[in-house]
Amino acid sequence: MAKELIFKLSGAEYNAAPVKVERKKIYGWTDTVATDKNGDVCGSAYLSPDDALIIPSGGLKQAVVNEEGRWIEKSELIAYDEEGSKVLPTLPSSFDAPIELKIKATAEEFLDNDWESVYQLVNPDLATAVGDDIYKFDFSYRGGTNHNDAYLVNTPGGLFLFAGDKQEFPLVSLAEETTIDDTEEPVEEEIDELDFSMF
Amino acid sequence: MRKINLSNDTKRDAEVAFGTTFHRPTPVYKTSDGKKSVNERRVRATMKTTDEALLAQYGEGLADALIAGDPEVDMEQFGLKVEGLKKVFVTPAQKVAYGVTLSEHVFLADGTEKEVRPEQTTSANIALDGLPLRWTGKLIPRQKAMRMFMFKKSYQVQHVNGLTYDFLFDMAKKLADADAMMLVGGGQKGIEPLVMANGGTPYRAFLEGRVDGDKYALILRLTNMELKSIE
Repeated sequence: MAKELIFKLSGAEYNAAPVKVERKKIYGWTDTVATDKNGDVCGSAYLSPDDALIIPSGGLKQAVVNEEGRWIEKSELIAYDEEGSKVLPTLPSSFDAPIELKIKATAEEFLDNDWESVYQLVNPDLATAVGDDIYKFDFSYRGGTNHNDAYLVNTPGGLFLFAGDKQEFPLVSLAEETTIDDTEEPVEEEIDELDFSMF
Repeated sequence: MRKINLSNDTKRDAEVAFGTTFHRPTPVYKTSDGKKSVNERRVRATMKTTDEALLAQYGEGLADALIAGDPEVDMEQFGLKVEGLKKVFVTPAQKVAYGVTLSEHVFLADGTEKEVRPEQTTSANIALDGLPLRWTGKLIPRQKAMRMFMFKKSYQVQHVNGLTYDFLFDMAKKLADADAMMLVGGGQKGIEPLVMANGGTPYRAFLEGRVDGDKYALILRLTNMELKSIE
């Protein structure tokens, strides 16, 4: 059985198992297939800069090493903030204890986030209790140092939990003009299939 | 900030700037003695140790070979630090393939294959000369839009001089007064999704505006996913 989150709202408890929302589950997906001159399907691999070594797909591993290049177990490491000066607190997983829904957020607060994950929650009673309100809470799927601001939002498509980080959009005046630099934005992801029937 | 060519409701267009200062903090990991750790890509398998290569070498005797020794480990290369790798395709004979043809296999959400088509590429369309992004006139109430779409990325659109301040302030005010988001589109007809960079993902885009006195915020929100039930 899928793990369930427990929400406490107005004295009542509601259980719901979060299901991650992904494009491919709604619109499908596209696989790119390479074929050689004989029509045979090719696999993907990596070639070393000196062309001497072919590494198959899945043949690389991200390793954590010390300054001398020796392997370190992740359990031996301590997480610090980005400046490397303050130890980050280790938080429990949101599955470990009920989540109190006490803080209501505005539409702007909700919109001004960069989302890391979105989950669907199926519990009609919870959806009814949430209504048109937006609830904000701390969320950590696995626990540890990584946690997000999360929002519970009811939509015509169901009840969704959005987890992300605050993004600032400051109001600017005439004096705060900016300049354009023409650096091309790096492409962060593979091109995927779009369902243009969405509009 | 980057350039974007935007038109307003009276089809006047201007080149303005857009960007974001958002940055998701990444923790620094240290050992107990305070030394920083480093993430490196290391080799864990080579073409000699793939399932196919091991089966070809040992055949039925592979299980015995795995018990007796470590044929799945390439002792010369395992753990090697690698940088500057090039992505290549390999033939079934495990040689680098040249002159490959790329095709796209399109699958529906239920896993059935819908079509096979030649590889498709995308070109950036947000700052083309003579083809500004169009203010389509399709307004969606903000409360409705935020419950319809998952906005994957958001950028602040900002003026680069006094004229473009008036241009963008007016847009932001109209949207703030309507408490709505405006669909913007690219291409000749102004209905195409936005592609922010060559090879990038196409997104539907909306403008949201906020105003306080003589200050404004105009936000470009991008989405490629509706909030639909997946259960």
